Amino acid sequence: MKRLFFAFEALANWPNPLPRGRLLKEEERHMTAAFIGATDWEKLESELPDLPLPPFTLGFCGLCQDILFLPPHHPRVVAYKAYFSPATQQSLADFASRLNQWLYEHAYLKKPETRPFLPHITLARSPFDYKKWKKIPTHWPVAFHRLKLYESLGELRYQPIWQKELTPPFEEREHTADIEFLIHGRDLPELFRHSAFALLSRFPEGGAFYRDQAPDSMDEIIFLLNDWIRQMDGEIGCPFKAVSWHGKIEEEGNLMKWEMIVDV
Amino acid sequence: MFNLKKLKPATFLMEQGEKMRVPGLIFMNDQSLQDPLFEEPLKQVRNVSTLPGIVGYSIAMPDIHWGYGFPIGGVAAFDAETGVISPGGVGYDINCGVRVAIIKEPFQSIPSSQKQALLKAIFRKVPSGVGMGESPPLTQADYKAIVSKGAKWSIEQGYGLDIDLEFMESHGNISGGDMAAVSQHAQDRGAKQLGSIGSGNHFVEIGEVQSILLPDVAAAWGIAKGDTYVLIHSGSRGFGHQICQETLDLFVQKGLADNLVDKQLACAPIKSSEGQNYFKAMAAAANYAFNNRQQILHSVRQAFKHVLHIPEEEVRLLYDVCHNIAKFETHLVDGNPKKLCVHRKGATRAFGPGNPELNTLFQATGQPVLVPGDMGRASYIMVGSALPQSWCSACHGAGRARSRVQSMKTWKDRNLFDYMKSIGVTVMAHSIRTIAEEMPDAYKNVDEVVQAVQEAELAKMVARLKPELVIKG
Repeated sequence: MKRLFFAFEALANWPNPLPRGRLLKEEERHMTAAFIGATDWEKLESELPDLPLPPFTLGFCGLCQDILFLPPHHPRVVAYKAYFSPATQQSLADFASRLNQWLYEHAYLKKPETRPFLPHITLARSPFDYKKWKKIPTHWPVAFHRLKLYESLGELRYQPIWQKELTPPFEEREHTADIEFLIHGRDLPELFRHSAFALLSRFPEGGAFYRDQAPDSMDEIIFLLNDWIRQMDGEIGCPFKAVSWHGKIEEEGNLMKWEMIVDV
Repeated sequence: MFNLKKLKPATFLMEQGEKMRVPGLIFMNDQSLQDPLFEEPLKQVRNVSTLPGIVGYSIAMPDIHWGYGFPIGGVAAFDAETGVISPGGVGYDINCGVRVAIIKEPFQSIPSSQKQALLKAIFRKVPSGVGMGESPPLTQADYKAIVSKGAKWSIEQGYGLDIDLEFMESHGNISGGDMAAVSQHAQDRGAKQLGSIGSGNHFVEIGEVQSILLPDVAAAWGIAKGDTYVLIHSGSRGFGHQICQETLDLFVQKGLADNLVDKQLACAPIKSSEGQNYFKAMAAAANYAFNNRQQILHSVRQAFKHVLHIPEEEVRLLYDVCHNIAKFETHLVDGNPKKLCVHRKGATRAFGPGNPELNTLFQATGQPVLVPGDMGRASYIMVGSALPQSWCSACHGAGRARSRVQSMKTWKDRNLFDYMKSIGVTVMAHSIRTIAEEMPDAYKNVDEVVQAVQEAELAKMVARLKPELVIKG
């Protein structure tokens, strides 16, 4: 028997330091999609080929805007609540619902999951200092591109025992003079979003200035990114000079991709 | 890929091929040419040679590497009447540059505890990294004065000495700037950043003049082995970045990047309203940068005074150079003087003896050329040799050898501060990541770069500088 749950691995340049407490290790932070609990691992392992997978092949990004203490009445964890684009939020909720339904139908859950999907990333377990935790930075960017099956080992330790890779929304690449990211998106607004989150992976403080946009050309993506950089630099300073006019959008299957180079 | 013909030591010709208006001239040692990293920048040298009105050669300095449109370490001059001006030929950080000051206090005579105190004092006084200066935000009146007066404005505000102006390229003032050509966005972006180093590869560095390589020139300049030096590397901050970005955006929107192999080559005829406006805005940013470095030096002088009781006039500015700029200069073309718009992007002016633009001291010797290396090994002071084919230009630094990602991976989980201490350098920065990205092995060996510069007769080595105290942006 293993204590198991499905979750998306949460990747971020986490705030540091966080208030003292029983912190989850950065590399083990995650956003739960379905909680199973103690279960027959061998049975599940044999049925994994039939597991419903996310309908999306591309990873996604979100902003951690609220701090939650869960459960509300007797909190045992402090977590970020993650916000996504409306389409992503709906896709995640639908996937979580299908996954939970499948788990129930295959007798891994005793009753159907009826609670609405609450996208959250646990940071620490009690005891914690509420006042200090309420003051941690918000609008913090986080990216996801792996669905994992985790085993809970106790003592805040979680070990992945299975995973499904998605195409990363952005990846940093080698570039001698400046910084370069390979960006993926299904449409131009998503390409913009993932480009912005690529920059936020380097400068998470900029999350407070991020807004979703609906560009209709690559030129407009660059205009919007640079306007955002201008705003950040003027208000708080930021490490980027500008997104360059390098490269063009290319098709890769049903995705768009773009090599974004940023002068730093 | 490129059939380069060796003309003389460290000098190669890229023959004029299809669509090239002029040949390429590559200053580099033989060994470096074998490095596959040079293939992309050499393509950019070729691309630049296709631009209208280019005169002479499309030039590559020994520290050349890939840039936006134009390579970094590239020089190109355009006919002032018929040629073009390009923000990509200047760079985002307009008038990014370097200044060096000399202090006659033997560096090794300063006790270690005082060196550390000096470093911490400068770290406190000079804003670095991502963030703002500590001066009140600039007003519109301030900006107008900065643009018209150059660095003199900061001196009038109490930052430094009148004599400093004599020891700056163009006396710290590029004329022709006009705030009417600068957007409110650029003003807002730069309003709180004057007097700060910025981030990335910008720095303040203090160390010892380790060796003298050209004694006569060093003596004339008042530099001796063992002296203390301060090197400052910074530019026009967000103000300049915004001007470059807006100009590129405008040029793209107006179709001035159409049919170019790289949009970042976007350019406008110098005589056009777009070209004129860019120059006015660029000059404004250049003067912001002169003021920025002036105010940083002032803070450094305050630290020397407070910690070591050295008066500010004894922290003597030797020279301040631009290495991202477009300037109108007169050069001989086919034996006749011609006004050119010389773009130096990651390249330094290297005027020789007799040039009337220089002060009387440097008219006798040629101007200083400042070549920062990396924070572990060395930097150099050179003297310009005024090579006509290079439009009197030289390199600006060592150039990166390794990407930031590679550097981070190499130094992950290692104690950077301990390593730097082990090689005799104390470094401070607000971001560990910055230090990891800027470790010495991320850069080419500056000794090899300056050797190529000297062999190519672009400039001559005067003094080798050894850093010991470094603040990274």
